[in-house]
Amino acid sequence: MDNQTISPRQFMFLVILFTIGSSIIIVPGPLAAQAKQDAWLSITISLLIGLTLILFYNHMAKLMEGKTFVQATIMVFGNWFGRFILFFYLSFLFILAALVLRNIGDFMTTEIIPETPLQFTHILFLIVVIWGAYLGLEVMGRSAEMFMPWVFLLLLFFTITLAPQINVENLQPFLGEGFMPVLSTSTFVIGTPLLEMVTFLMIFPYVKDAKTKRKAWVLGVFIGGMILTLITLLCLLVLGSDLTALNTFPSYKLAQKINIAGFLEGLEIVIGIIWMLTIFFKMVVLYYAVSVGVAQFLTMDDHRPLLLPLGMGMIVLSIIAYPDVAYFETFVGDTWFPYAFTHGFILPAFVWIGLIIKSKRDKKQKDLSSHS
Amino acid sequence: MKVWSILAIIIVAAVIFIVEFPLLKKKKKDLWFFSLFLVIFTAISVLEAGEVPLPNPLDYIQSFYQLFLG
Amino acid sequence: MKQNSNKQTSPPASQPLFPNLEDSLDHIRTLMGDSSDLVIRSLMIHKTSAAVIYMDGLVDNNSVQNFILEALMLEMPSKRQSSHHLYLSIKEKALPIGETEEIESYTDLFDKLLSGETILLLEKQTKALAASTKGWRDRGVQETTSESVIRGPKEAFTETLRTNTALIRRKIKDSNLRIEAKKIGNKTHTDVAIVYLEGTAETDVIEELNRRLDQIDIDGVLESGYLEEFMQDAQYSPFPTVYNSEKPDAIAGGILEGRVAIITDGTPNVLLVPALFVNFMQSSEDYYQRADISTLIRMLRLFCFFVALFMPSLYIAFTTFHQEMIPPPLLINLAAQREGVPFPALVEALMMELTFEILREAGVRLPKPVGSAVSIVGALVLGQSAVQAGLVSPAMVIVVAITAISSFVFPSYNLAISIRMLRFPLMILAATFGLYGIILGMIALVLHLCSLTSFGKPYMSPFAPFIPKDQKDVLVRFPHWGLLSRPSSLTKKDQKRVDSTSKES
Repeated sequence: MDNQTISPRQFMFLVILFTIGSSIIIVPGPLAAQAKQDAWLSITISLLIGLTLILFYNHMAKLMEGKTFVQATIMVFGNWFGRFILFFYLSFLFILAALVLRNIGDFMTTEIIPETPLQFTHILFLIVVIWGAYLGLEVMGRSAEMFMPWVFLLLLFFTITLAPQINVENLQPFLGEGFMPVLSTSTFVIGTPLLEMVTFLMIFPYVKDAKTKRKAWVLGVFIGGMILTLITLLCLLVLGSDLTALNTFPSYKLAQKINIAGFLEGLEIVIGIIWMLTIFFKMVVLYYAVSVGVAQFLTMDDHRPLLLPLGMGMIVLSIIAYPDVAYFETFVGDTWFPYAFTHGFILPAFVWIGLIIKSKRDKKQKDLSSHS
Repeated sequence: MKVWSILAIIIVAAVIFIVEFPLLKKKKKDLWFFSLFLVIFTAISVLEAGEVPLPNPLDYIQSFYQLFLG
Repeated sequence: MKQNSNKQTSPPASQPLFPNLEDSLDHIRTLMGDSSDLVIRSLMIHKTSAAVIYMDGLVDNNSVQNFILEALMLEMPSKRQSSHHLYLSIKEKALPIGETEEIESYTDLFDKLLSGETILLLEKQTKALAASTKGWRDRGVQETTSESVIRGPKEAFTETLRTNTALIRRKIKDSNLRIEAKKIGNKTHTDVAIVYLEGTAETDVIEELNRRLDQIDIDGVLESGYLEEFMQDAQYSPFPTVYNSEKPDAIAGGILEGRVAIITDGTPNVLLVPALFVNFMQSSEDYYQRADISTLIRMLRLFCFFVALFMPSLYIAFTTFHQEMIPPPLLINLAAQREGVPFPALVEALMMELTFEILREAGVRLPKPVGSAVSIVGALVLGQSAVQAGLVSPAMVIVVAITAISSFVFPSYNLAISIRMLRFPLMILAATFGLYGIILGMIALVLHLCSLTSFGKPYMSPFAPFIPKDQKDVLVRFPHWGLLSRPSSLTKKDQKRVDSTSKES
């Protein structure tokens, strides 16, 4: 909206960070609860399905011809019905953003700064997110480029320091519970973060270099998914599936296990930093998509005035969204996948069909007019 | 405590308006939507600070999907 | 009479010279208010009245006496000529001065007169001659005071524009080196020169620079800092987007990379644009010492950047919020130290930082003999006594000391200033939100840095956007035979610097 574009590589980094996003905190636990020691297999399967999902989004983006999802839907379905559909799409993104904000707020308030009230944690985080969205896509892309090496290094550090504590027996028996639990839990990772990739349909048009950007999206999801698999694997290998399932934040517990030379033990904060960075980028992408989406919905010129009011609303939503973690876990376990599936697949598929029909109709029109 | 929060929210909303107003003087449509959102969300925030129980969208979403699948 | 109409009130716009010599001299005297340093030497050249005008103090008296006055008074051909012919013959034949120019208006006349040139006026001529006889007292090329190096040239720029351009010419003896002159400042008419290598520097940058300088409308330009504020990209950012240096080799290095230098008369500080973040972490000495030590020192500088910026905040965050993150033996020590201190960590830190800033500012202005006394006072008395009085903990003193010393590691003073300023908000964030606040502050900082541009070039190149080819000269310094190309973020022209075969195996 502000005429900024990013390079495919910057886009890929944003995708990776988004994929890791909040999932790195919330995914290993529920997966281990159901699929137990095969949780990592569950992610791998979801990843494969997810990659085909990305190919679907890619194809949609091609049909949308450089328009964002909001613009394309209005173009296909007209001003009234298009906006009706978009209301659900935009509210999905908004609610998702509020939930992600609550994720990091919960994590911070539980583990790092227990005495700070939740609202302030959220407000501070959101201020920086809003500033990122205000500065625009190019700045977001460049910042992702700057932080990416650090995230990789920290993850590498994480893996290496935990290597001595790996217990391969924790992965056995392989497929001990049968294949069904693995399949049924694979919907979890598809729900988050893979179906949430629909957010990028708002950003994809602004990426330069049409030929490589599709590959960048797929590669980004792949790398992000691999990292998630790695973390889950580490959780299982070091903590075991029971402990992973019990903990609210298993990857943090994992980090607390890092023990170098018996001296440096407080290093889990380093991992907390990674989580902050990945969640930040997920938030900033979501927030940018929502504000640009709402601005295009209302045919405003600039998304920037909306940033602050939307922020106020998001803080409120993030507080009232759920009173405690139990509610959250039920919601995510039972309702999230259908909710995300509706908005991340069914809605876009609807628009996709509309796009195909429209393009066929346009082609027929062109043929007619060129013949007559 | 409640009163301070409500007051703070209103002051913040006023500041936001004052800051954004000069930049939006030219685009009327943008100004309208901005003000609309600001007012609605300030109202919601005030309600939340005043500990008025607000409906939780997640409840509605949950019940909706439970109809289908539950 | 027409000459009386524009005297005191209106400025001497491009008003042509009065043919009548006496009127002209009167005009000049009145406009300058009969300044005591204005010298008007009237003389007769074969029955034609003439006058030689100059400002005492600005001119080299020897030149004036030996070359102008002697030539006009003693060595003129004895043939009698008309005023016009006399003028032409003087212009073409008589004055043995290198740089002469014709002037046709009073604006030019005053311009030249006040720049130290000697003006020759002839009766009945509407044009005059200006001869360059500049010779004021200058500080002379001396050793640099603020940018010392161990290995490398030690000479620094002076306050005279011409000396400075000469110093650069001595480094770059290429005919493509362009020096364009401007005058900026309504009252000071300060000479400003733009220096660049034609064919290497990008024309967009040069045009943009010219545009920005031309739109400056200010009374006076006393220092390059005035120009910097007008032409910098980000007014409100604490980070500098214009590089400045006192040393000719640093500036010449920049020009060779495709940058543009701006020399201001009256100050030895020369500006260099575009300036990227990494430039402020580099020193010209990096290129003179060996590649391996330069690489290590650059990494040290990067480390010191983080230390100088984050150390006090980290101390506050860890002692206030995250005590469990500190290894137990250290924790016990710190806790014991902080036992007797009545203030929370933030207040302690602010007090110490403030004290240090006061000492630093005072130290700059103190005369030499008193300076050493103050440093003793500061270090021993204040630090020691404050600790013993229980006002601050020793750990805090160490933190502040390390921070301060780290900030001196940077070769470029502007970046150290930015860090000084940014430290305080970070400390406040640390005190309210702990490590969470610091990380968010860091994210906000990176966002800000990524949004800066310097004359169109992204400030954080070559980190973001990542340009692999340029990494050879940022954190590490490849040996000179490996620095094959110029930094491509500065200029796309003329990329090849070194022939890859020039190092024998």
